[in-house]
Amino acid sequence: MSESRALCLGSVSGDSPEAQALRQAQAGARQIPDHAERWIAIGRGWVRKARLSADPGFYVNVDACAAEALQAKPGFVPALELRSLVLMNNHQFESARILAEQILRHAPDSVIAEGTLSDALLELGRYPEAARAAQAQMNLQPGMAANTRAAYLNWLKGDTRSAKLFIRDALMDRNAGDPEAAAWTFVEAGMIYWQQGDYDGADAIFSEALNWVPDYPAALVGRGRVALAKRNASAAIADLSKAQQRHPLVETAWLLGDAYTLAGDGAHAQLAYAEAERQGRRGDKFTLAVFLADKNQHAAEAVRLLDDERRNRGGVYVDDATAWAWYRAGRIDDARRMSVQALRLGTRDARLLYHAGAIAIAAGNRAQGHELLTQALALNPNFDLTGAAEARALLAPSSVRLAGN
Amino acid sequence: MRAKTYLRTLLATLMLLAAGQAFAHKVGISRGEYRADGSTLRVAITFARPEIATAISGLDANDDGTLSTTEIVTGRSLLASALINGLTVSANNESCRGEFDQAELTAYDGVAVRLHYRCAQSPLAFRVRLPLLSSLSVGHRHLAAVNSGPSAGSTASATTQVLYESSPEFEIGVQATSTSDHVAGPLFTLGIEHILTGFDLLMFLFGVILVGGRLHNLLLAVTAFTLAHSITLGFATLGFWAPSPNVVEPAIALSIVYVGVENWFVKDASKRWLLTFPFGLIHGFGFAGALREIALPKAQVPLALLSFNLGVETGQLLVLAAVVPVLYWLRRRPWFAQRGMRSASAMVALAGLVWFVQRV
Repeated sequence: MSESRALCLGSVSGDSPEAQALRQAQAGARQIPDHAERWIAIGRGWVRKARLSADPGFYVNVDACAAEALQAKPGFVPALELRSLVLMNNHQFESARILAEQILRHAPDSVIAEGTLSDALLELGRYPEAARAAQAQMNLQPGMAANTRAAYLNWLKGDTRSAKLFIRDALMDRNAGDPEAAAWTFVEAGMIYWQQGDYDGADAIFSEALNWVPDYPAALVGRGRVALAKRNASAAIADLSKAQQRHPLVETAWLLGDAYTLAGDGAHAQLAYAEAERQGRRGDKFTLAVFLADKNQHAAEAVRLLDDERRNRGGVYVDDATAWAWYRAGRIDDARRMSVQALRLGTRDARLLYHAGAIAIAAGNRAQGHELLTQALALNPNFDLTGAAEARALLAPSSVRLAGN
Repeated sequence: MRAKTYLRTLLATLMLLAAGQAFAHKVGISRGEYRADGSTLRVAITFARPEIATAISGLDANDDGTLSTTEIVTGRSLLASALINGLTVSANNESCRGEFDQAELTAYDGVAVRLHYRCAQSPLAFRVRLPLLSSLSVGHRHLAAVNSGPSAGSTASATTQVLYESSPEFEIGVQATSTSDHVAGPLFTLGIEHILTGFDLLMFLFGVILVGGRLHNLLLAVTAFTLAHSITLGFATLGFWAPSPNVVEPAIALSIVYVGVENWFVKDASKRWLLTFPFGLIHGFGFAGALREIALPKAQVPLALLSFNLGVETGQLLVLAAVVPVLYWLRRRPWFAQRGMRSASAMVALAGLVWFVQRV
């Protein structure tokens, strides 16, 4: 048996309806291996498995199924669509963009390709084109996916009101057949409220996500974040520990460390921060860099990680992280230039405003810096344990520069 | 309506993919070859250099994110210790002693390592565990090509296992000494599963027994079907000959159409075995598809075939035991004799037709 076939037909654990459906699809492909559609059915099953388990490794299986389908039927559009999803998951954004455009030349009504194209362009920082692709997707098939994208794009542009309207429309399309998609959309909605400093609103929405998928890690992280902002350390520790246990992530370990710090438990905080670093080195280098810059540690490493990231990714968040890492490394002029770029869309994110403010002060523009820091704290007073404390310190009359070097 | 909802669900899942990328990154893959040789298990694995450089602290001396020849030479003991601890082998519930043989850089940014594990005595099976997976990139997949024979010759058999962090172990049965339990039980279960989830076969059987008749005629028809599919299943599995699934699968669908249509006209059910025998030959080639993907050692094929077949027959009997009494009861109702049987037969034919179109 070929490697791709072995992977596509790989054993499926569990008795969930998704696992059973996947096994059924595999039985179908074993019966008629020459039918490309059968391999696609398995590939889609692996996509669901990857999302539900939060294990990106299952995209290896997805890619294998796409390979089998393409072998049975070269150029088969659903197989190329699956492959574009794999490329996105692998953070090969430029390749994903090229493939999505290639699919759209042959199948202009491919909703999946339009969505992938929009996402790839978004990650590359090509916002106007990303918005056009999202609009094209909306024209082809309005619904949860298109509205969620529209909400995020509007939020990035600082239009929180439209973002809320779109996310509400997205949630209108939730259905019991796919609770994970609904839970994810609730988490997206919760983040909009959290970014506005509406902690009670965000908390209610994250809790609703948990009604759809109990112990859903992203919703637990959201609720933990709110608890942290409300200075409820024990509630934050409870939710974040559970989330970290189910799905270890750099950001979750980082927030858990913050929660322990807030509780005065330095030993556990250090363990959690060490875990954040360990997880970051295993995969999510971008968040690791943001974490290191936030905690003002290993500035050179953070800069190097972000230099790597910028080779295949762009956008305001990469710009912001780079600006902050440069600031921590003492490259104030570079940081200033980059932080201006990070604010170009008018994104209403307290972290971005705080970084820009601190950098402006370090660059000698005290008035503008104070203005940005005030905006950050007014928008979301406890956006980050370290960041909010530093912002308040900078606004204090006797503040000094906080850059690492 | 259900199909529409399913499609919407599917699209929602696929389309929200990128939104859910908080965890995503390029997934690492390593490839290993595992060969059982008496009481020794020989292992050769190729990793991506950056993965090993990150996973084994201190190995990447110049901190450039990859490995050089100098680094693997000077870091040999570090590498050996990490790999021996990161890949454990046991047999008969006893740990086998691991020894590191060599490491070298390969093309495409790879690093190839060789190890071997000596066990106290020749085991029936080696149990391999890779705790190393929890140090490699999140989502890492290890593709283990398992060769249970002593050499790469024709008697050896290779299968591929996929290991990952939450599924980090597997067993290698040694071909020459493996017990029948390793094959018989799972294949028997697979046979039952194949019947209970093979809706086309269930539909065919339902069509055959729908028309009724005396019990011994029914048994004769089913026995003829069983005998026939056993012949072609063996024929295909032993590798003599098998037609393409592109021919077999539509033919199976047509056999269902035929049974459904014939039920409208059949007067004498006692001769139905003449129909089920040739159709059974076709269905047997279909069953072979389920076994084809399991790369069994040749020596185990007869036992596997027997076990699978017994599973298939057991599954058939389970279905018949459930359906025949219901049909017996229904046939005593005048409305069923007048209209019900024909309506059900039409549904059988229609289902066969749908499958035929799908498969062509």
